[in-house]
Amino acid sequence: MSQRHPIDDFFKSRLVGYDSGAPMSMWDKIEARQKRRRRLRQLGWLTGGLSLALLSIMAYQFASSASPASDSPLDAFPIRTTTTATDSVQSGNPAPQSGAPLDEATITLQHTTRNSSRLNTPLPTDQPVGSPAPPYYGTIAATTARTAPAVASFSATPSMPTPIAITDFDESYAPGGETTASTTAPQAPCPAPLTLEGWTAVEEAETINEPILEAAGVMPSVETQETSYPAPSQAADPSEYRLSGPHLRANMRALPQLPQVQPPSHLSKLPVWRPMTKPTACVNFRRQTWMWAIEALGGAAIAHPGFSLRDQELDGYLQKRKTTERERISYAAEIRALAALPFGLRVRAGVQYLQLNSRFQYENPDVLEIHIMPRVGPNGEVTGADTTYSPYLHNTANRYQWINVPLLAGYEGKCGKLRAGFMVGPVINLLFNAEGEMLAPETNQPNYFGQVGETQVLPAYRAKAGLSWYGAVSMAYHFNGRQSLIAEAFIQKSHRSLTTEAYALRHLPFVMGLQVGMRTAL
Amino acid sequence: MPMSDYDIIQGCLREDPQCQRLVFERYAGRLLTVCLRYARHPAEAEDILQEAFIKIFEHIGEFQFKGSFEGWMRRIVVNTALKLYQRKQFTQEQTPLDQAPDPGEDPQVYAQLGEEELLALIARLPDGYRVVFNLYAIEGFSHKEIGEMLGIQESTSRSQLAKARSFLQAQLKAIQRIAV
Repeated sequence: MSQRHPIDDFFKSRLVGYDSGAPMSMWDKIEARQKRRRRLRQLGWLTGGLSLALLSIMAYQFASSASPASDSPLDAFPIRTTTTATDSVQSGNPAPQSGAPLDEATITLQHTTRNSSRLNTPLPTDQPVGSPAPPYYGTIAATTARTAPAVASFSATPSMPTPIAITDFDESYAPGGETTASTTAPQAPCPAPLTLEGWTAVEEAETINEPILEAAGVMPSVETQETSYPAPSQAADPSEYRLSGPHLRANMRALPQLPQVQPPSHLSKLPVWRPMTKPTACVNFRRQTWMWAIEALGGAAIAHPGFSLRDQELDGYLQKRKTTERERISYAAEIRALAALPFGLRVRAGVQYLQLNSRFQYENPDVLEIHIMPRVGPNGEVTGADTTYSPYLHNTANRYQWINVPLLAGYEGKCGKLRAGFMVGPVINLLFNAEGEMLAPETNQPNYFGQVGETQVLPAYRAKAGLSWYGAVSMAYHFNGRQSLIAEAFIQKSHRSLTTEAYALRHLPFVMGLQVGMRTAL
Repeated sequence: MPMSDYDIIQGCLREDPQCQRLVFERYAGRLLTVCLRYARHPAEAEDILQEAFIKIFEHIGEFQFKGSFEGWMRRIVVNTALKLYQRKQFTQEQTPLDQAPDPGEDPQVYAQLGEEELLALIARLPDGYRVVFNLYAIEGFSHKEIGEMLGIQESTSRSQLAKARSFLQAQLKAIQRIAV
């Protein structure tokens, strides 16, 4: 137990419990700070929630676009579904003559369905031109025969506005069943009567080797199955000729049901996963509410330091700091997601890197710079030397670096290929770094500075820069389908001083800059 | 009927401004004395007190009702002051104390000095001495604890305390001479 010194006891007895009487003006300051902290906390929650909501919506949009197109958009498509081609052939029928009437045209196709069973499907018979297309009609023969007659004929009259969209898959036509070219389902008006004798339309679709399926018991050994569907009884109305499109293809995608075959247990346990499966290439006619884009920008900026005094008595120090530091070109770079809402509204969120540069130059009175210039005579000989003395200028590059999260809202209008808009919003600081040299307030001598918590330097700067405010006007030139060039003039202002309360000066930089970059629509 | 500490704390937990104000009115004077002991001047003491009250209201939920509420607040004030002291070490004055006065004087002879004067005497101490003297003599920490808190050797703490006592005694003696 250490001994108590009389001085210790004396001070303790007199000072513990002594009330110095705190002025109530101090409470006003505390209350103001409390309110500010509360507001910042609310803002933090708000920005966090907004970011989370944006990310969720973005993830949902990506997930939706990645999944295969469902039938619902096509169901909503307003054009009535009609058919314009009719056929009357069953599997194995002889091919019709070239130029035959439409109702005698024959198409024999080898279809491969999405559940990987191959069919030899003739189009239905007795289908009147212009009648509404039921999901299934005519007579469709399904067969597993790989040696089905390689005959395909397609006839149509020139007056037909468009041929039927046979399938939603790409098709290839080649003599003898070989695939030679890929064409999409026809959507243009049909040309003159056409007969492709000895050609087979083969779909390009995911296939499973039939022998394997048969061997595994998945593919039935049944050779032919016929399914009959009621033929429409109404006569064709020429006025009902309509363009056919993906809506019709969607209707024809459905094929008659195959006999239910239970796969062997060892196959049924295999997970069904097709990561590279190409989704059905249907156009989504429904207008999307949100459009997404990524913007990448980079550019130069210049900053005004925005020094101000905390203690008015240190005006001399402020002037010295201003004279010893010069702003230099700074840099900014950003990558952000852009959500384009209706009515030209734009919401942006991303990551920003900002670096402000300045140069500290101090004339050190204790050091002299000596320049010696040789004096040269008329014949080139050195006759002497001129010595000049100048004050030594001590130079240091100061650097302030931010990594921020901007949350911006704005408007963008378009005129032809040009888009112009503005955006404003808060920028939340994630990381901040301040390093360099400046005059110390106590000594007016150069001193390396840093941030709170650093040792061996003047910890004049905060660990986090806090909030900034960002405003910008932007121009974009839309130069191809998805890309646009962007130019953006911005200003950024710190909300609070970068320096701590203990340091004599406030530092609230005001940054002005120009960034250029690229926008890519997703 | 005045509110008890318990009720006030419960109100502060609800961020009730009236209760927070009551805490300030009830304890700010005594806590300001603590700040004045650690600060170099009254403005710095007020800064410390502001910072400390912000922390008190922010962390009041951590008070366990196991000891004195005032003691808990005083610890926060002392920690805030120490943090400020550590931040300001770059400007720390290292005033040499060449001549140590005779420590044999009875301090009771200075009893007529007011608390304000005593606080002014402490404020005149160099930063390091002042902090060590406060922590040891008034807060009651050991040299080992002080060494850990300030990141200094135990022996340094002892030596700074001795020099602080000597400085204070010299100052008291000088005041006595003037008074006589």
